[in-house]
Amino acid sequence: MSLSLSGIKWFTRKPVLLRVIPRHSRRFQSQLSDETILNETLQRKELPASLIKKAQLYGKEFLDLEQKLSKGENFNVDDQKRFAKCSSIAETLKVYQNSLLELNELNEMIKMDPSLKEEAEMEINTKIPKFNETSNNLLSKLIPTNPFADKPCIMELRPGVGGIEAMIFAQDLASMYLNYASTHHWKHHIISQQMNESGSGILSSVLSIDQPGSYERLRLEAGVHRVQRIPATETKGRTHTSTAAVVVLPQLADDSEKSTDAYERTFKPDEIRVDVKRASGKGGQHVNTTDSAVRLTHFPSGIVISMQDERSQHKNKAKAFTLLRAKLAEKEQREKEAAGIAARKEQVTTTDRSDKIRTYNYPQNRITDHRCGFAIHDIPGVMAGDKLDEIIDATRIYETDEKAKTLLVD
Amino acid sequence: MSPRLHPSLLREARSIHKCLPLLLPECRTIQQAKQELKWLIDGFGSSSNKLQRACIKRYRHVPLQYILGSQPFGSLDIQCKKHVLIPRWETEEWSLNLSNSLKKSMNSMNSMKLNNDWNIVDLCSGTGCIPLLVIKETKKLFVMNSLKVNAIDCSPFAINLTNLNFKRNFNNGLNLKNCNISFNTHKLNILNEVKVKKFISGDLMNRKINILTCNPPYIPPLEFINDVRSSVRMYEPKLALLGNLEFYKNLCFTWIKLDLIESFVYEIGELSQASYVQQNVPHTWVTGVTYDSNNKPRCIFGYNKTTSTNYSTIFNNFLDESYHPQ
Repeated sequence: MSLSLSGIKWFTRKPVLLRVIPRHSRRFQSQLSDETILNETLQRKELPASLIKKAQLYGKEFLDLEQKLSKGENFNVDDQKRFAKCSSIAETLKVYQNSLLELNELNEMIKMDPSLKEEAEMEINTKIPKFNETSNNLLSKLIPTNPFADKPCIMELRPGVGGIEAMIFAQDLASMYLNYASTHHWKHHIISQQMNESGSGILSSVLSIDQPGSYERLRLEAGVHRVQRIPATETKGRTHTSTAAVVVLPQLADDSEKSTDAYERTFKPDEIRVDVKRASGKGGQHVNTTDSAVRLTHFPSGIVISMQDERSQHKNKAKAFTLLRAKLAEKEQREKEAAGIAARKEQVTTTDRSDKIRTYNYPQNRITDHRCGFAIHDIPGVMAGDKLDEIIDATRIYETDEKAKTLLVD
Repeated sequence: MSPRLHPSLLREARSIHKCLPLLLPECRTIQQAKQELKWLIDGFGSSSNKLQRACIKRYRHVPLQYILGSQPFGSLDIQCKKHVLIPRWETEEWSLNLSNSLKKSMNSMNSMKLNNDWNIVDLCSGTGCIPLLVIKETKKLFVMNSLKVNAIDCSPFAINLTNLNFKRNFNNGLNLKNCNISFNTHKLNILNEVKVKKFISGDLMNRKINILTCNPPYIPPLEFINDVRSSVRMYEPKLALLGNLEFYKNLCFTWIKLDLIESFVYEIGELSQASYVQQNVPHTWVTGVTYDSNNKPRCIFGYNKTTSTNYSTIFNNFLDESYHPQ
């Protein structure tokens, strides 16, 4: 493989949560394939100082509680629960700190005495997976996980401002996510897609990424994506700015037809109205219509879903119910989060639904995520789905960091 | 009859896809035509001559289901061929409702389970969609007790297609290996009372039929020219379409009068057919009419209230599941 200047990757991550300490400070593109496999297991996942501080606070509380409980005074259930939580965190923290110390010592050793390098490196390599495990363990104990983290997801894409250019961009985004799913070998399909009349761009697209856990991965993609480029429709060569909106919903069960009835039954009959196309005439054997559109109205939430992609009304209904369930679950979760924020009585910036989350600047071949300030200069790579992971990783790191900050405020 | 298509609509369609204008006479709107084009592309590929030939067929009003060769029916994929009626969504709706109410009632009442063997017969079976869907939906209920399903049609095309659909949807019967279910087809003209009696004494060994389902031809010949869509009129079998009261008469004076059945569900085209049945059943029978989501009367059902099996639960559920006219 030939090495060219543009092939050099100068990519270093923001040293925040789960900090990656690369073995080589710079990597060459040509080395990437075998290097990445190695690095995957050998990366050290260190937690940020803010989180460690929080964990230490728990440790302190653990000692206080231990004293209090040992005195045998007022013994109540809440204290017990708190004690159990604090003790498990304190314990994990101890293990974490010990193994971190060991690793640091080994690194020191390499620096001091190069003759021991090989042995020390071997020991580091065996220790790192265990260290990462503890680190993840500690992290999950400190930060509450999303209840839908293990679910597959549904993505809804719609054009925003910018006319046909926005529709084309929405289509580009849809294909980006499909490519992303393909590169990860995740099962996916298009639930429904409405093309623009003139054939370029989409009016809406609903994708289903069937991989369990894909919701957690793609959750932060939700928001308004902005594009800056010279549209194909532009005749004078001016750069336009358009947007497309992405909604990511957890998929609660697979949308196979079997579960339709179960879905229907979980709703009260007066909450739901199912409309079909009301054809005039006698129906039945008199016509053999192919129009199987179904419209679902959920009164309590005001959600209306139309579905017409399948050839059978029953299947359209099944899909509409899947979508409705996903929307309701997401709405509920959002309300819960909002309630949590209100309870803290202070506005916390959430990463997940800020307005404009990302800009795709084609003239500069740059994608910037506005939440974490991460920028990558490879639009084709991202749109092909290969490099999207880098952005997602950066936003996830940012989100956990933000969450850690709110934890410290508590 | 439908109004003329405006040339500007055809032009607009042409600008989207060269085959789209061909679909407009049947679909009427660009949106629906695009939807059909998508299905046709799924079936025949996007650039082949096959697609164009299929669109030309559609231009000649050939039903989409005959062109694609299939129609989804509940969780089944039903093969459709010439000479056999295409399953309608109304039929799909009520068959699903019937299956669901059967499931519900059997789960709630253990007494029904004790009534060990079930016997369901479908007349004018066509593609076999109704009995096959009932089997598919209720098969989990029949492990200990048995379900015998018989599909009857007088057309050899229909019988062949029903057998094919059974094979395809149940993997040659292998998918029913753990269930106590048998499925048989019979070529029989049920309007002939002698043959019906022979069928009952021979194939059914004089066992009572628990549920008799039927989607009989119910379009009165006088309506055929005016009320029937050209696609149906030109390509679907008249044998499965034309009829008025023959089959309802046959229901009242053969199946019910000879006391061969305990309950029935018949599809109807208009209320007069339902009221004919209601006037001609004995007073020990309870009957009712259900509506489809298009707010049209679609089914007449009835059961004998003097039997040991509690049919009222099943049919009250059936009525609940169905659409309630506003």
